[in-house]
Amino acid sequence: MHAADGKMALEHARDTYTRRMEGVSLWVLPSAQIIASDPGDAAALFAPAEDKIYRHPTFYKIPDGITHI
Amino acid sequence: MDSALPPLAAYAARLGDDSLILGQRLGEWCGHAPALEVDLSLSNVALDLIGQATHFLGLAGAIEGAGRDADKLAFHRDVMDFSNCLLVEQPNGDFAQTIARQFLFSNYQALLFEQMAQVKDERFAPIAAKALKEVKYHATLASDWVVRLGDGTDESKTRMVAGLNWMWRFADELFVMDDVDAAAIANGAGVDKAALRAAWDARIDAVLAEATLARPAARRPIVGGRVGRHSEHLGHVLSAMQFLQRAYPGANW
Repeated sequence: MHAADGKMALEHARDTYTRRMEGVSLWVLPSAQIIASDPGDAAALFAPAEDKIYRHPTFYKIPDGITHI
Repeated sequence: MDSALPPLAAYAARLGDDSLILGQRLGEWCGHAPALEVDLSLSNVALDLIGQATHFLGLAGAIEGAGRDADKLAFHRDVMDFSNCLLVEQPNGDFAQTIARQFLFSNYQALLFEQMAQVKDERFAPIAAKALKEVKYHATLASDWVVRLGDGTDESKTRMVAGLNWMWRFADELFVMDDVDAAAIANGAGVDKAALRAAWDARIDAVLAEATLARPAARRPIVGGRVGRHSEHLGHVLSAMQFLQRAYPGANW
Protein backbone atom coordinates (compact mmCIF):
# COMPACT_ATOMS: atom_id res chain seq x y z
CA MET A 1 0.00 0.00 0.00
CA HIS A 2 1.00 3.61 -0.43
CA ALA A 3 0.13 5.33 2.83
CA ALA A 4 1.41 8.05 5.13
CA ASP A 5 1.30 5.84 8.22
CA GLY A 6 0.17 2.51 9.58
CA LYS A 7 -3.42 3.53 10.23
CA MET A 8 -3.93 4.75 6.68
CA ALA A 9 -2.22 1.62 5.35
CA LEU A 10 -4.61 -0.55 7.35
CA GLU A 11 -7.64 1.25 5.90
CA HIS A 12 -6.23 1.04 2.39
CA ALA A 13 -5.44 -2.64 2.88
CA ARG A 14 -8.98 -3.29 4.05
CA ASP A 15 -10.40 -1.51 0.99
CA THR A 16 -8.00 -3.14 -1.45
CA TYR A 17 -7.54 -6.69 -0.27
CA THR A 18 -10.72 -7.71 1.54
CA ARG A 19 -13.32 -6.68 -1.05
CA ARG A 20 -13.92 -10.24 -2.19
CA MET A 21 -13.99 -11.69 1.31
CA GLU A 22 -10.33 -12.74 1.13
CA GLY A 23 -9.48 -11.55 4.60
CA VAL A 24 -10.21 -12.34 8.21
CA SER A 25 -7.36 -10.26 9.61
CA LEU A 26 -4.83 -7.69 8.41
CA TRP A 27 -1.19 -7.09 9.31
CA VAL A 28 0.64 -3.99 8.19
CA LEU A 29 4.37 -3.36 8.33
CA PRO A 30 6.67 -0.92 6.53
CA SER A 31 8.05 -2.39 3.32
CA ALA A 32 11.58 -1.48 4.48
CA GLN A 33 11.16 -4.03 7.26
CA ILE A 34 10.40 -6.91 4.89
CA ILE A 35 13.26 -9.28 4.19
CA ALA A 36 12.57 -10.80 0.79
CA SER A 37 14.21 -13.40 -1.41
CA ASP A 38 16.06 -12.22 -4.49
CA PRO A 39 14.13 -13.01 -7.69
CA GLY A 40 17.50 -13.92 -9.20
CA ASP A 41 17.70 -16.81 -6.76
CA ALA A 42 14.27 -18.12 -7.74
CA ALA A 43 15.62 -21.09 -9.67
CA ALA A 44 17.80 -22.30 -6.83
CA LEU A 45 15.10 -21.72 -4.24
CA PHE A 46 12.01 -23.04 -5.96
CA ALA A 47 12.85 -25.12 -9.05
CA PRO A 48 13.93 -28.20 -7.07
CA ALA A 49 10.32 -28.67 -5.96
CA GLU A 50 9.03 -28.87 -9.53
CA ASP A 51 9.62 -32.62 -10.01
CA LYS A 52 8.42 -33.62 -6.59
CA ILE A 53 4.74 -33.76 -7.33
CA TYR A 54 4.38 -36.60 -4.83
CA ARG A 55 4.43 -33.94 -2.13
CA HIS A 56 0.87 -33.12 -3.10
CA PRO A 57 -1.43 -35.65 -1.48
CA THR A 58 -3.26 -36.29 -4.75
CA PHE A 59 -2.34 -39.94 -5.26
CA TYR A 60 -4.67 -41.35 -2.68
CA LYS A 61 -8.12 -42.68 -3.36
CA ILE A 62 -10.56 -40.79 -1.14
CA PRO A 63 -13.28 -43.05 0.29
CA ASP A 64 -16.82 -42.03 -0.56
CA GLY A 65 -18.48 -39.75 1.95
CA ILE A 66 -15.30 -38.02 3.10
CA THR A 67 -15.68 -34.27 2.82
CA HIS A 68 -13.46 -31.28 3.52
CA ILE A 69 -10.33 -32.87 2.10
CA MET B 1 -41.56 14.08 -3.36
CA ASP B 2 -43.38 11.36 -5.22
CA SER B 3 -46.89 12.27 -4.09
CA ALA B 4 -48.17 8.87 -5.22
CA LEU B 5 -46.23 7.07 -2.49
CA PRO B 6 -47.96 6.21 0.80
CA PRO B 7 -46.09 7.55 3.87
CA LEU B 8 -44.11 4.41 4.76
CA ALA B 9 -43.10 3.95 1.14
CA ALA B 10 -42.07 7.60 1.00
CA TYR B 11 -40.02 7.06 4.16
CA ALA B 12 -38.21 4.10 2.60
CA ALA B 13 -37.70 6.06 -0.63
CA ARG B 14 -36.04 8.93 1.24
CA LEU B 15 -33.57 6.51 2.82
CA GLY B 16 -32.96 4.83 -0.52
CA ASP B 17 -32.57 8.10 -2.41
CA ASP B 18 -29.99 9.41 0.08
CA SER B 19 -27.86 6.31 -0.40
CA LEU B 20 -28.42 6.11 -4.15
CA ILE B 21 -27.48 9.68 -4.97
CA LEU B 22 -24.43 9.73 -2.70
CA GLY B 23 -23.37 6.37 -4.14
CA GLN B 24 -23.67 7.76 -7.64
CA ARG B 25 -21.70 10.86 -6.65
CA LEU B 26 -18.87 8.81 -5.16
CA GLY B 27 -18.88 6.62 -8.26
CA GLU B 28 -17.89 9.70 -10.25
CA TRP B 29 -14.49 9.46 -8.56
CA CYS B 30 -13.84 6.00 -10.02
CA GLY B 31 -10.67 6.34 -12.08
CA HIS B 32 -10.12 9.93 -10.98
CA ALA B 33 -9.21 9.78 -7.29
CA PRO B 34 -5.90 11.22 -6.00
CA ALA B 35 -4.42 7.73 -5.55
CA LEU B 36 -5.33 4.19 -6.49
CA GLU B 37 -5.95 3.32 -2.86
CA VAL B 38 -8.32 6.27 -2.43
CA ASP B 39 -10.05 5.33 -5.67
CA LEU B 40 -10.83 1.96 -4.13
CA SER B 41 -11.92 3.49 -0.81
CA LEU B 42 -14.42 5.78 -2.49
CA SER B 43 -15.70 3.07 -4.83
CA ASN B 44 -16.17 0.70 -1.90
CA VAL B 45 -18.24 3.28 -0.04
CA ALA B 46 -20.22 3.93 -3.24
CA LEU B 47 -21.03 0.24 -3.61
CA ASP B 48 -22.11 -0.04 0.03
CA LEU B 49 -24.46 2.89 -0.50
CA ILE B 50 -25.92 1.53 -3.73
CA GLY B 51 -26.53 -1.77 -1.93
CA GLN B 52 -28.46 0.11 0.76
CA ALA B 53 -30.41 1.95 -1.93
CA THR B 54 -31.36 -1.35 -3.54
CA HIS B 55 -32.82 -2.57 -0.25
CA PHE B 56 -34.66 0.63 0.70
CA LEU B 57 -36.01 1.38 -2.79
CA GLY B 58 -37.07 -2.25 -3.17
CA LEU B 59 -38.93 -1.88 0.12
CA ALA B 60 -40.51 1.40 -1.03
CA GLY B 61 -41.77 -0.29 -4.17
CA ALA B 62 -43.07 -3.29 -2.24
CA ILE B 63 -44.97 -1.08 0.21
CA GLU B 64 -46.38 0.97 -2.66
CA GLY B 65 -47.62 -2.25 -4.23
CA ALA B 66 -47.80 -0.87 -7.77
CA GLY B 67 -45.23 -3.19 -9.29
CA ARG B 68 -42.26 -0.82 -9.16
CA ASP B 69 -38.97 -2.40 -8.08
CA ALA B 70 -35.75 -0.68 -6.99
CA ASP B 71 -34.50 -0.27 -10.56
CA LYS B 72 -37.78 1.24 -11.69
CA LEU B 73 -37.64 3.77 -8.86
CA ALA B 74 -33.96 4.56 -9.42
CA PHE B 75 -34.00 4.94 -13.18
CA HIS B 76 -37.52 6.00 -14.10
CA ARG B 77 -38.31 8.87 -11.77
CA ASP B 78 -37.59 12.49 -12.55
CA VAL B 79 -35.86 15.08 -10.38
CA MET B 80 -38.90 16.27 -8.46
CA ASP B 81 -39.83 12.73 -7.46
CA PHE B 82 -36.49 12.21 -5.71
CA SER B 83 -36.56 12.81 -1.98
CA ASN B 84 -32.88 12.68 -1.05
CA CYS B 85 -31.47 15.41 1.16
CA LEU B 86 -29.65 18.24 -0.61
CA LEU B 87 -26.32 17.35 1.00
CA VAL B 88 -25.81 14.13 -0.96
CA GLU B 89 -26.40 15.72 -4.37
CA GLN B 90 -23.77 18.43 -3.85
CA PRO B 91 -20.89 18.34 -6.32
CA ASN B 92 -17.77 16.34 -5.50
CA GLY B 93 -15.53 19.40 -5.86
CA ASP B 94 -12.03 18.44 -4.82
CA PHE B 95 -11.21 15.49 -2.58
CA ALA B 96 -11.62 17.60 0.58
CA GLN B 97 -15.11 18.72 -0.46
CA THR B 98 -16.09 15.11 -1.10
CA ILE B 99 -14.71 14.13 2.31
CA ALA B 100 -16.58 17.00 3.99
CA ARG B 101 -19.87 15.72 2.53
CA GLN B 102 -19.09 12.15 3.56
CA PHE B 103 -18.05 13.20 7.05
CA LEU B 104 -21.30 15.06 7.73
CA PHE B 105 -23.51 12.44 6.11
CA SER B 106 -21.94 9.20 7.36
CA ASN B 107 -21.93 10.40 10.96
CA TYR B 108 -25.63 11.19 10.59
CA GLN B 109 -26.37 7.87 8.89
CA ALA B 110 -24.52 5.91 11.60
CA LEU B 111 -26.63 7.51 14.33
CA LEU B 112 -29.81 7.01 12.28
CA PHE B 113 -29.17 3.32 11.60
CA GLU B 114 -28.14 2.63 15.20
CA GLN B 115 -31.68 3.62 16.15
CA MET B 116 -33.42 2.12 13.14
CA ALA B 117 -31.80 -1.26 13.74
CA GLN B 118 -33.94 -1.44 16.87
CA VAL B 119 -37.35 -0.40 15.52
CA LYS B 120 -40.24 -2.85 15.62
CA ASP B 121 -40.81 -2.98 11.88
CA GLU B 122 -39.20 -6.18 10.61
CA ARG B 123 -38.51 -4.75 7.16
CA PHE B 124 -36.66 -1.58 8.11
CA ALA B 125 -34.68 -2.88 11.12
CA PRO B 126 -32.68 -5.61 9.30
CA ILE B 127 -31.67 -3.28 6.45
CA ALA B 128 -30.49 -0.72 8.99
CA ALA B 129 -28.62 -3.35 11.00
CA LYS B 130 -26.73 -4.55 7.93
CA ALA B 131 -26.04 -1.02 6.70
CA LEU B 132 -24.83 0.10 10.13
CA LYS B 133 -21.73 -2.08 9.84
CA GLU B 134 -20.87 -0.40 6.54
CA VAL B 135 -21.68 3.10 7.64
CA LYS B 136 -19.59 2.93 10.82
CA TYR B 137 -16.57 2.33 8.60
CA HIS B 138 -17.57 5.17 6.26
CA ALA B 139 -17.76 7.52 9.24
CA THR B 140 -14.36 6.40 10.51
CA LEU B 141 -12.77 6.73 7.07
CA ALA B 142 -14.20 10.19 6.45
CA SER B 143 -13.35 11.39 9.96
CA ASP B 144 -9.74 10.21 9.57
CA TRP B 145 -9.41 12.16 6.35
CA VAL B 146 -10.88 15.29 7.93
CA VAL B 147 -8.15 15.10 10.58
CA ARG B 148 -5.40 14.39 8.04
CA LEU B 149 -6.43 17.21 5.73
CA GLY B 150 -7.40 19.66 8.46
CA ASP B 151 -4.24 19.08 10.47
CA GLY B 152 -2.08 18.61 7.38
CA THR B 153 -0.44 21.20 5.18
CA ASP B 154 -1.57 24.80 4.64
CA GLU B 155 -2.98 23.72 1.29
CA SER B 156 -4.89 20.73 2.63
CA LYS B 157 -6.27 22.77 5.52
CA THR B 158 -7.46 25.52 3.18
CA ARG B 159 -9.23 22.94 1.04
CA MET B 160 -10.78 21.13 4.02
CA VAL B 161 -12.14 24.41 5.40
CA ALA B 162 -13.56 25.32 1.98
CA GLY B 163 -15.16 21.89 1.63
CA LEU B 164 -16.82 22.10 5.04
CA ASN B 165 -18.01 25.62 4.29
CA TRP B 166 -19.66 24.40 1.09
CA MET B 167 -21.44 21.49 2.75
CA TRP B 168 -22.30 22.98 6.12
CA ARG B 169 -25.52 24.79 5.07
CA PHE B 170 -27.04 21.45 4.02
CA ALA B 171 -26.46 19.70 7.36
CA ASP B 172 -29.56 21.00 9.16
CA GLU B 173 -31.87 19.34 6.65
CA LEU B 174 -30.67 15.94 7.86
CA PHE B 175 -32.50 16.46 11.14
CA VAL B 176 -35.75 18.04 9.93
CA MET B 177 -38.88 16.10 10.86
CA ASP B 178 -42.19 16.17 8.98
CA ASP B 179 -45.41 14.16 8.53
CA VAL B 180 -43.65 11.31 6.74
CA ASP B 181 -41.27 10.89 9.69
CA ALA B 182 -44.14 11.07 12.16
CA ALA B 183 -46.08 8.41 10.26
CA ALA B 184 -43.02 6.16 10.14
CA ILE B 185 -42.48 6.52 13.90
CA ALA B 186 -46.18 5.83 14.57
CA ASN B 187 -45.83 2.63 12.51
CA GLY B 188 -42.78 1.44 14.45
CA ALA B 189 -40.40 2.00 11.52
CA GLY B 190 -39.13 5.54 11.93
CA VAL B 191 -36.48 7.33 13.96
CA ASP B 192 -36.71 10.72 15.65
CA LYS B 193 -33.99 12.43 13.62
CA ALA B 194 -34.21 15.67 15.58
CA ALA B 195 -33.16 13.72 18.67
CA LEU B 196 -29.94 12.64 16.93
CA ARG B 197 -28.68 16.19 16.57
CA ALA B 198 -26.90 16.50 19.92
CA ALA B 199 -24.96 13.27 19.43
CA TRP B 200 -24.10 14.27 15.86
CA ASP B 201 -22.86 17.67 17.01
CA ALA B 202 -20.67 16.00 19.62
CA ARG B 203 -19.12 13.61 17.09
CA ILE B 204 -18.54 16.34 14.52
CA ASP B 205 -17.05 18.72 17.08
CA ALA B 206 -14.70 16.07 18.45
CA VAL B 207 -13.27 15.35 14.99
CA LEU B 208 -13.04 19.04 14.10
CA ALA B 209 -11.12 19.68 17.32
CA GLU B 210 -8.66 16.89 16.51
CA ALA B 211 -8.35 18.32 13.00
CA THR B 212 -7.57 21.77 14.47
CA LEU B 213 -10.55 23.16 12.56
CA ALA B 214 -13.19 25.59 13.76
CA ARG B 215 -16.84 24.62 13.37
CA PRO B 216 -18.17 26.57 10.37
CA ALA B 217 -20.35 29.54 11.34
CA ALA B 218 -24.08 28.81 11.49
CA ARG B 219 -25.86 29.92 8.37
CA ARG B 220 -29.41 29.92 7.11
CA PRO B 221 -30.07 26.26 6.40
CA ILE B 222 -31.15 25.25 2.90
CA VAL B 223 -33.85 22.59 2.88
CA GLY B 224 -36.39 21.13 0.45
CA GLY B 225 -34.85 17.91 -0.86
CA ARG B 226 -37.31 15.72 1.05
CA VAL B 227 -40.22 17.25 -0.85
CA GLY B 228 -38.53 17.31 -4.24
CA ARG B 229 -37.14 20.86 -4.27
CA HIS B 230 -33.61 20.14 -5.39
CA SER B 231 -30.54 22.10 -6.34
CA GLU B 232 -29.53 22.43 -9.98
CA HIS B 233 -27.08 19.58 -9.45
CA LEU B 234 -29.45 16.64 -9.11
CA GLY B 235 -30.71 16.78 -12.68
CA HIS B 236 -27.15 16.42 -13.94
CA VAL B 237 -26.56 13.48 -11.61
CA LEU B 238 -29.69 11.78 -12.94
CA SER B 239 -28.86 12.48 -16.58
CA ALA B 240 -25.69 10.41 -16.21
CA MET B 241 -27.19 7.78 -13.91
CA GLN B 242 -30.41 7.22 -15.84
CA PHE B 243 -29.13 7.58 -19.40
CA LEU B 244 -28.90 3.90 -20.23
CA GLN B 245 -32.34 2.98 -18.92
CA ARG B 246 -33.89 6.02 -20.58
CA ALA B 247 -32.28 5.20 -23.92
CA TYR B 248 -32.80 1.44 -23.69
CA PRO B 249 -35.71 0.85 -21.30
CA GLY B 250 -35.56 -2.51 -19.56
CA ALA B 251 -32.00 -3.29 -20.71
CA ASN B 252 -30.15 -5.59 -18.33
CA TRP B 253 -26.85 -7.49 -18.12
